[in-house]
Amino acid sequence: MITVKLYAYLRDNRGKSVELSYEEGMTIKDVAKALNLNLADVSIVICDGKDDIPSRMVDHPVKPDSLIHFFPPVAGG
Amino acid sequence: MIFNENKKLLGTDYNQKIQTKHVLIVGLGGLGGFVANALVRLGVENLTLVDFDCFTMSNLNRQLFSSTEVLGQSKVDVIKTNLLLINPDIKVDTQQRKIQSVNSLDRIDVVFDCVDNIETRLWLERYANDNHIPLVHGAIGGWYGQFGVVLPGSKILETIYQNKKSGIEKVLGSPTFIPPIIANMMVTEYIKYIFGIPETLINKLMLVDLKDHNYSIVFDKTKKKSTAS
Repeated sequence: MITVKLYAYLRDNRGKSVELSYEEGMTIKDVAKALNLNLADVSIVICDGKDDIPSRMVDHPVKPDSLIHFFPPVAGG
Repeated sequence: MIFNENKKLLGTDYNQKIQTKHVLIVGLGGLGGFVANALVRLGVENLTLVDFDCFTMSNLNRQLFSSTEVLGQSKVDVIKTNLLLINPDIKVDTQQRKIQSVNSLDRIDVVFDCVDNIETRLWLERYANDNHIPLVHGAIGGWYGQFGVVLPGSKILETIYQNKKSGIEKVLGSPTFIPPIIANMMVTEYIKYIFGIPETLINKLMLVDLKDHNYSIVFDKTKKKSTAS
């Protein structure tokens, strides 16, 4: 199973940790779609230790046991 | 005498490394007040404070130098008064305006990014970049925060805030406990940076989730490994 961890309001209607079934050729974009998650609301993605902004992670391949984190932007002072 | 407890950790000559730096703090809200407090208690003697705002009731839950006695007063003026009570020998320049409209600044050695909006954060990153100085970044919202030392050329803020207008703070607010934690982590990373400590978050960010105790370091080009689990 793929484990997806979500933070702040990305948890709304999804929960803080979600498990998804792996499908052949799955990417970060597919994971976001399965969670009905708009990547425009995400600031940083971490997948199995690799981290970057969503636009550079969308095509990152996901493994059957991947651990993925989606972080929203934080900008308060 | 004031700094004896700091010298035990940082060595007898540490003060020289800190005293000689001119520190610009932009944004004197939740983060900025605690950053200014910590820097002066560390020995920083030359500070410029920039914030256009005055203290209001809604600041009382989290802003260190806010009180019912100073409501309506300029944040930079109130904070300057308090900093001089900690160390009367320091020099504090205040600018009660937005940083974009400050005409000129003396030579700055480091910028602390304590503002509450993305537009100004990006402006500060460009300013630090153009002036070849480090930017100590911190941001908060709800249970969450992030911080790190951003060096010229890295454009980390431009990267993470790409196409973003605001963050989670608009929904989750800024509770009492988060500003002092992230502000003092910013100052800690600055001290580590000055001392050349290898583990400093240089061109990396620590993402902090105090609710679930998840602490992740991102943009770490040396390890490419997250502490997230």
